Amino acid sequence: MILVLFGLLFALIAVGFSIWTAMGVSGAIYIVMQGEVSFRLVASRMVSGIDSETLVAIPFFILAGDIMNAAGITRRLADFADLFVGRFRAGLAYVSIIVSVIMAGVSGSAVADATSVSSVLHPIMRKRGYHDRFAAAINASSAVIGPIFPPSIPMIFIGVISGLSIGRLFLGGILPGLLMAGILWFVATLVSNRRGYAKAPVGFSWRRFGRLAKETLLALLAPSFVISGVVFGFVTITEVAAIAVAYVMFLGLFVYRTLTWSQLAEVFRRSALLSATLMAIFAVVGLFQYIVATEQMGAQLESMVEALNLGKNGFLVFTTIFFLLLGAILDAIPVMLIFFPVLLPIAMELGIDPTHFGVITVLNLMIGLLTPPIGVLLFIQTKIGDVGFGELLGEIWPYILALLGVLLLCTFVPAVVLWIPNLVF
Amino acid sequence: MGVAVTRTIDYLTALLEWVMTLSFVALFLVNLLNIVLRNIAGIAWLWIPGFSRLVFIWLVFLGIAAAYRRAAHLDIDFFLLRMKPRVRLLTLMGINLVLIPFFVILLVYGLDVAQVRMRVPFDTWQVPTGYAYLAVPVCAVLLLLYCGERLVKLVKEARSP
Repeated sequence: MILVLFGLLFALIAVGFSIWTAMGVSGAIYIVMQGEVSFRLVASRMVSGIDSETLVAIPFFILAGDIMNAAGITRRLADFADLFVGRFRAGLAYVSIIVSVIMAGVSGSAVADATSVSSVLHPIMRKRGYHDRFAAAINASSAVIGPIFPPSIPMIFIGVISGLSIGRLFLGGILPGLLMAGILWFVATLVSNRRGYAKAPVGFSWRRFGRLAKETLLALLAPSFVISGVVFGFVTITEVAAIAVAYVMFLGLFVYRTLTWSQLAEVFRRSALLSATLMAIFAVVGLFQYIVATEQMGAQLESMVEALNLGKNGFLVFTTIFFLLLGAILDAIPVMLIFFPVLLPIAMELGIDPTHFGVITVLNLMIGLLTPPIGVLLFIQTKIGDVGFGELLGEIWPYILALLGVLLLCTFVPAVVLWIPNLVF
Repeated sequence: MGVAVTRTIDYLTALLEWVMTLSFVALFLVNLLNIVLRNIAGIAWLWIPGFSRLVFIWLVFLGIAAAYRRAAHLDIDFFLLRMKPRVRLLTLMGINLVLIPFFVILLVYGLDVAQVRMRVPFDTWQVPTGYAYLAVPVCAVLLLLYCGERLVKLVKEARSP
């Protein structure tokens, strides 16, 4: 029965149903086929699925990122980074990586980061002579850092659904996020040098530094609020997110004065809408989890792992391939929400640290945002950068391989993920 | 579909999005107030967590309906975009026809669950959680309205040469 359910889900998504309705309809059909459960379950699970104070953090983080963009803070950060690294051959690629890491420290969503950073940087990159496909590839790949470096919306989802410490998950993403930035930096350097992109005449001057530092220093503090809130734990994740919103809103309205009240209302509306599309999936996942539990999918998987005698490393290889394949053909969030709680107990039984397993699951599925046929970040870049899908695929593969290298390192060297959380908690 | 009906639905959606925006602002202000009161004045208002949950649930369900109207929900249109126009049109009609019974389930059973939950208050706020569950049938009514509108548009498109 469970195979029929998942087969139906994949078929509905492939035909063109939105993900939440595909999950809802296939769940409802399962209830009809099973004949023992009431349709009440659909309505009650949808509400209980999102009835969590922690989940309120998600719209706040999305809002904070959107305000940064609307207030021109992303642009200021890009200018500041450009002052230091713009003169190198891959200068604007470095700017993209730096700004993505800083934006990641506030918003936590790859899609939001890709849209905001690319819309600012892509036209400038084109003007400085970079190929569109190069700009699109680096902007898409660096956006993957968004949900790895804290705060991270997928990690909040995982924490809420499995009861893991969101603080530990957040801190576990710091080193992998920085490693991803480092490896992307390296690949962008290689590609730029091979193509001989011209060096931009961006000189460093103390006067310009003083002006830009004054403009961006306050914006640079925003991610530190988030991280210190998580580390010191004086406020909840939701409150950290609300503080981040209040801070960037204050900067936009009163310090930089680049944000108007009507713009702010529009940003609130847009962020509410985007949040609802994410939470819709979280709502119907509650129904799916019930079905997965009723069908004892966890026990079946566990006996399969035992029968295959995979062991710890074998299991990690199995889950890596499993998530990479599913992440390529399905949206990351439902895959994570359905399968992570099922696989976590098996991982723990094999002696894998739950924080480690959580972080590598997110990292794995976020790389899926770059892989065909469904890579959401690829579609965003084709629209913003006016690049063909195939052309972008031909350009982005070295970055995907580099990120897979980081994934393998994080998977088989748990200390890369666990060092900081173990140091703090 | 007549221009007047489309315009009425446009106004309704604009109103819906305003309610969402105001709910989101309220959610943000209440959370901010909670931090200030607890950390500066040492006061904890017990109704705030329940109120937050109530507003958040309504925000999400109203947003689900608004996003459906704007076709903003996450989907994978890889195959849909590669279909011939006629096949795509028929597929979209089929999708919306399948959605109608699903939305009816949300309406009927959502009302049922909301009624039951009227006897259960929030943990630290003496307001029935049924008010939060009412968001499901309200969302379902809006979804049915938008689904009907979409189907009429698709039928018109199919009939046009």
